[in-house]
Amino acid sequence: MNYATRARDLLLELKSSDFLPTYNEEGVRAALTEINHHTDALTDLVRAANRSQGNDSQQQGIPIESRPSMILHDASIRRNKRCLLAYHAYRIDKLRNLRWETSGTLPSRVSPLLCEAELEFFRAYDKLVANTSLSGGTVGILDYNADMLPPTENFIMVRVVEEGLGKIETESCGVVELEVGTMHYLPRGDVEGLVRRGALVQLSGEEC
Amino acid sequence: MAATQTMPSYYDIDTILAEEELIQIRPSFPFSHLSHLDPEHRSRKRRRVDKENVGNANRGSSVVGTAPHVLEEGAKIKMPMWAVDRWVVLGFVTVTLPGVYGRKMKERLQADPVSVDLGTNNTHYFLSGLLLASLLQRASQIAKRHRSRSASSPALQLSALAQSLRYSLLNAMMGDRLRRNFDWTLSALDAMEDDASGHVGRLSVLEKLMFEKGVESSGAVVRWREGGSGRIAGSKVVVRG
Amino acid sequence: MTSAPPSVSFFGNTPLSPDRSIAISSFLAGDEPIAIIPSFHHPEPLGLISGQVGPFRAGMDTVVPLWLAVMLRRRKLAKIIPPSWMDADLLKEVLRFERDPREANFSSLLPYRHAEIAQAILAACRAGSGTGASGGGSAGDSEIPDADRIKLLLEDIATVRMDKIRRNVHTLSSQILSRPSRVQPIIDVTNIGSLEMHAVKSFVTESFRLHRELSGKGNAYSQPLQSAEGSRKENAESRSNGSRLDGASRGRLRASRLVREDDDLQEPRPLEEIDGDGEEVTGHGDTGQSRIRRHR
Repeated sequence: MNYATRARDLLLELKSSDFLPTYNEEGVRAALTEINHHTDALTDLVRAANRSQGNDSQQQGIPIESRPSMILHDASIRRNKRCLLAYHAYRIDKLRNLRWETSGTLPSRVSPLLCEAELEFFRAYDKLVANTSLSGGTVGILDYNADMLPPTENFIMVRVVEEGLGKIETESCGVVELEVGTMHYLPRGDVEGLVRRGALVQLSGEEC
Repeated sequence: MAATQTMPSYYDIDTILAEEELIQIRPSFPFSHLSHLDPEHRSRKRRRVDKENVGNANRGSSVVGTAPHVLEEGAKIKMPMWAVDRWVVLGFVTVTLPGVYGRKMKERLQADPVSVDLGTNNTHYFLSGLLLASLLQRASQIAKRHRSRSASSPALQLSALAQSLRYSLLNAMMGDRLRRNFDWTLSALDAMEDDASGHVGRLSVLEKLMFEKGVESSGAVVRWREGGSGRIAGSKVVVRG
Repeated sequence: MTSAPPSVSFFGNTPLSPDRSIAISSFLAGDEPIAIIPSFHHPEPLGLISGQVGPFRAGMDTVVPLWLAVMLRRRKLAKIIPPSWMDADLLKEVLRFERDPREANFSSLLPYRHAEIAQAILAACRAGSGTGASGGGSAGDSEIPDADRIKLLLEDIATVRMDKIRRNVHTLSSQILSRPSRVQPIIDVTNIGSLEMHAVKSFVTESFRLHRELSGKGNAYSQPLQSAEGSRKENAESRSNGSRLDGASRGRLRASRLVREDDDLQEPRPLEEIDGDGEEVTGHGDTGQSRIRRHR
């Protein structure tokens, strides 16, 4: 029996990848096709059963011998559906977490792994979070992205590891040029996003 | 599908994969249209089935009354747990537990639980067993409901089987294996990388999940002791890439 | 609840990562009251969200939250008076107690967040005093003369206590977890420290969860049929006079439900299931019954 094997393979791909495997459009389509096959087969069985029921007025309903195959088709449809849902839910879940990890920037190595709809999801989710963050209410602007962990110091020491960051404007230190290899002592809030997406590295040590 | 939302593991990949566990069943009555499930039967018709895909194979044979391709009563077939779930629940088939849940494995797990390797071939040992026990339990409930009180022995049998399966799993999982696993989660960070991987390699998925959670926690404590909580971590996805 | 295996998580119900829980815990430790001796004057009390602090007079001790104490100490505006338990002799006593195999509990002399408090105070005092000569001559003006000894003692205590937790879990595993039991497993952790708790929490809660599932009491791995069992049993019971389906009727499906092809193919459902569908039957009990009766 090889029902729902393509759908299962999708999940195995997820398991064997350390982040996400490339979106397997072919596999998804194969699973959908299989669902259609089962649907057709099931419909045929039901029609046939109804027809024979019409001929034979003694017999009401569907004979028990035909029920297992109907149930099996039904189970295969559900199985494929569950695998597909799980596959997509898992990926969406990862993307949602990624949004919080990188405060909205999609790492360049991730985008080729996604399908069009997933890219769109990431953008839309990012936008949604950004809008919520800025609406603030009466207290003022509340940035959900700042301080994922309770901060202990206001200033942190960072080293630049990514090229081409240019200048950033900070609240209390004016404009700072971020050249590769240089170290800076900067307000935590201004650089937290850059550290989290890997452009800067925070240096440990007792400072202040 | 409102009903399935009450099941927390609906989206859980491990659970879904654990339901691939093959189970041996025997139909309690002839099953129409399903002869292709029987490997012996199939060998005769291989050419035909291979040519047609899943759907067509069934459609071609779906005219009731004109000798449908019957899967004989009592034929031994092996199918994944998810596929036979309803059949078992409805009592359409009788079930034989997979060999790994038999006496031999039980004895091995009792004699020297820690050294049994569940990571290579039986990754889903506990999870599949758990799902299987739950399936038998459900089948017994249905059986209880639909048979007269005097003849409720199949229900009792199923229930007893589920119970004993659960207990033997519980015994194997929560004893020495759990203790060893717990010790590793506390010391995995100090120990040599290789040693831990040897241990992890023998774990089933549920145990590995526990191990990973444990290591994450004790790692967090170590990180905190070393660097406090002020550090901003770079995104793992970015760092790895 | 962290119990369920990852289903779909959302911001807000994602289980806290241990890193975050520990960070939060040490942040909360900042609220612990700590005595300081300020070296400045500030006659007006400060109104903070958590309450008033001050007034501050140079040389007069006053109690402030730990986070404020640490901040002032780092700016050399105050000296911290370490809490009474941060004392080498007392800690030695604690260590002796923890090593005593007869004591199953943890020492009650240490507060819940002792690890976090100690780390904050020790770091603040070291940072403040070490600026001039960072080598080793810092002991002179520090308020904790034997800081290094205290640190070592705390580390020893942490190790011994972790081992105690480890042994407790082992006992738990051999006595309760590995057999089916009616009682929920209990682990006594009176006076456990918050850090120790974070270190073992996820493993222990996960094993409790699996114990529950394997004892047949959980519902994470069973299908809805079982989870709605209670309500259905009642229904089955109430209908039991004559509504139990005999063999012949069990062999029939209701065709009317099957021909709805436009439906999303939840059908065919065998009769037993319709009978057993808790919501449907409880929702409109009468119709549910009559539908089945009509059919016999």
